[in-house]
Amino acid sequence: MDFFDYIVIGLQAALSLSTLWYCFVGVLLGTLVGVLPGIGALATIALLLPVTFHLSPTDAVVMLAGVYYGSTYGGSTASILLNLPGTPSSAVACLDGYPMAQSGRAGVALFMTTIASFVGGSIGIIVLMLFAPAIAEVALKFGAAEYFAMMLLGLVAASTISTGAPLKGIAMVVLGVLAGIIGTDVNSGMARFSFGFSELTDGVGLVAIAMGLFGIAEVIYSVNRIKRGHIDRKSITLRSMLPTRDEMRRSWFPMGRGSVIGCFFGALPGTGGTIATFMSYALEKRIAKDPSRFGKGAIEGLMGPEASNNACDGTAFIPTLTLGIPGTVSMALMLGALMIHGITPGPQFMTEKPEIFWGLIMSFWIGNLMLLVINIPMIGIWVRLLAVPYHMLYPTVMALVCIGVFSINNSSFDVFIVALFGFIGYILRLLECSPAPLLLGYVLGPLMEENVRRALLISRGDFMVFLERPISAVFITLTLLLLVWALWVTMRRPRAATVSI
Amino acid sequence: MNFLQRKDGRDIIAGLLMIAIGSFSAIYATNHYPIGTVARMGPGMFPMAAGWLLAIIGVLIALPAFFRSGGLPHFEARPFFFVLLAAIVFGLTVERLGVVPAIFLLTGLSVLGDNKLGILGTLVLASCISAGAVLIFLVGLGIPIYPFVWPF
Repeated sequence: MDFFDYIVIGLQAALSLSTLWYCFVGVLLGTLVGVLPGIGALATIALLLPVTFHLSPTDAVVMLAGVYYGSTYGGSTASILLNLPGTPSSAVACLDGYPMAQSGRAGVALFMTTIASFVGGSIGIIVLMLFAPAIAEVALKFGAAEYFAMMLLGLVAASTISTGAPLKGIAMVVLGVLAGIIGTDVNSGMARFSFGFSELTDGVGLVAIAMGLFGIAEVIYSVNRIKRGHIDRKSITLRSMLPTRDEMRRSWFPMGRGSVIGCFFGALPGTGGTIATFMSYALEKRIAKDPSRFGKGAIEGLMGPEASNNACDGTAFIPTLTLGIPGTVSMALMLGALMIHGITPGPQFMTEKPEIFWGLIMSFWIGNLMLLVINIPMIGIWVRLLAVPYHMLYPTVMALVCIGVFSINNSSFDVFIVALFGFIGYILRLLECSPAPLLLGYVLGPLMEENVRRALLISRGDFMVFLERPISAVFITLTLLLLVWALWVTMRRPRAATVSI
Repeated sequence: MNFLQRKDGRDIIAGLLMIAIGSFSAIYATNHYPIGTVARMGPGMFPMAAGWLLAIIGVLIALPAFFRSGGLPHFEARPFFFVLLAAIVFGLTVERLGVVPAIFLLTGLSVLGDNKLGILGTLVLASCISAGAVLIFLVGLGIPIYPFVWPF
């Protein structure tokens, strides 16, 4: 079968009535939580995981993916109107979006960010469609040693690049790996770290960990922080959204450049929307004829980053779907959703289950078109939603988290685990330890253990196996370089590892 | 506490916590599970290695923090206490009383986290959440949850 046969298979799957419906539900929910500060795509995907048990695997991932890229569309709304990012990757949109809104151009800013999101998203999907098959081809030759080395690189990259202090990131990964060990060991059948609780022999549930760390901990952290500002709702009409010819002209190139940056950082493990937006903003500011306009409502500074974080969303699926290695936590949850249905993504995924793989990718096109409609004519609804105070929102979130987790096994034990991880997550947040690498470690830990055990069994305990095979050697070298860099950064200036513009 | 506020207390606590968790896991794994050899790893080998690794990283985090200033983070005791309590009470009551009473308790406790919503507002909010939850989970998704359980 060639490329176009697969596209037809994908379209057939994506255009089925139920998939269309779940795609719509996903992008709608994604926009909703993207717009609202204090509730993220992560917590929402975690909340929806128990629901996806009851869906077909295609519908399940299509919906979760819709939440993921839908939230990127919605994220800039609060940035522009309230100077408060709805999602971490839309923080940059505050810099020029909010000044635009203050000078009465909020409608234009909202309209143009949706266009930038669509352009960036589309370019990301095209890159995903072109590169995923090639990468899967290479990955077919990977053995246990390569897999272990690659996961190691992915984890170290994810923990050192994107979070504050690199060492703490690595500590969080290892903590996650330890959490992943809880449960029955596949090789020996022995229950590890279950401390006598029979509920723990199946391990700690992904849903419970994710909801605790990103749902409950986030609520505790946000309760006294999120303040609602005043929005002039009547000023945002469809007429006010029309950009001038000059604004259009100045937007095309930043969108193109932003998309390229986004595609690159999306596919790399550990980096993602947040870094891509900062890079894109810095680039636009550097090459601008008049950099002093930036920060005062320059549309270039809004369009570049907005295109870049949507392009990221597409290419972020490349490592997840072709290698089975998630680069970010959202991707780890997506992987978890597939695993719940007994599907382990990897190089064989797109040939063995073309209807899921290509169905998912084709649903991105449909979802992006839906988002265009959801965001432009319906913008008034989202603006109104921003007026809902957080003190009414967070008890609702808490209730959904608790019921969602309880409904998985009808067991109170899972609710206590969620509370425990909410506790842990809040403490870690206070200590400036990012919980994201923890979840990545939790998901990848068991796979790593399996592969390292297999690789060393084959090599009869010789560690050189990781260096003798060329691909594995490259991964290990890169990992070591990253570790040396991380140590150097930590020892030199402890708090300088954040991205600055 | 004074010392922790003068030095980088945040990183000292983080490091010590990692040392404690790491060495506990490593020692527990060593004592309870077979270690095996590198070629034929037992169930204890990987947790032992991960545990010691975490402890070492903890030392690397805590040590430099003793030699620089930083201080302690601001701890939001009120939302921390009430939000977690709300989840625990939900867990304790949901099986015995059913989902709806558990939601009312959860809502009532979690609004105390910032105390901006009055009693009437809380009751209205809890009713809305209960109705929504029953509609979504029971009617919409067909997940068998019990809105009310009569303990008598």
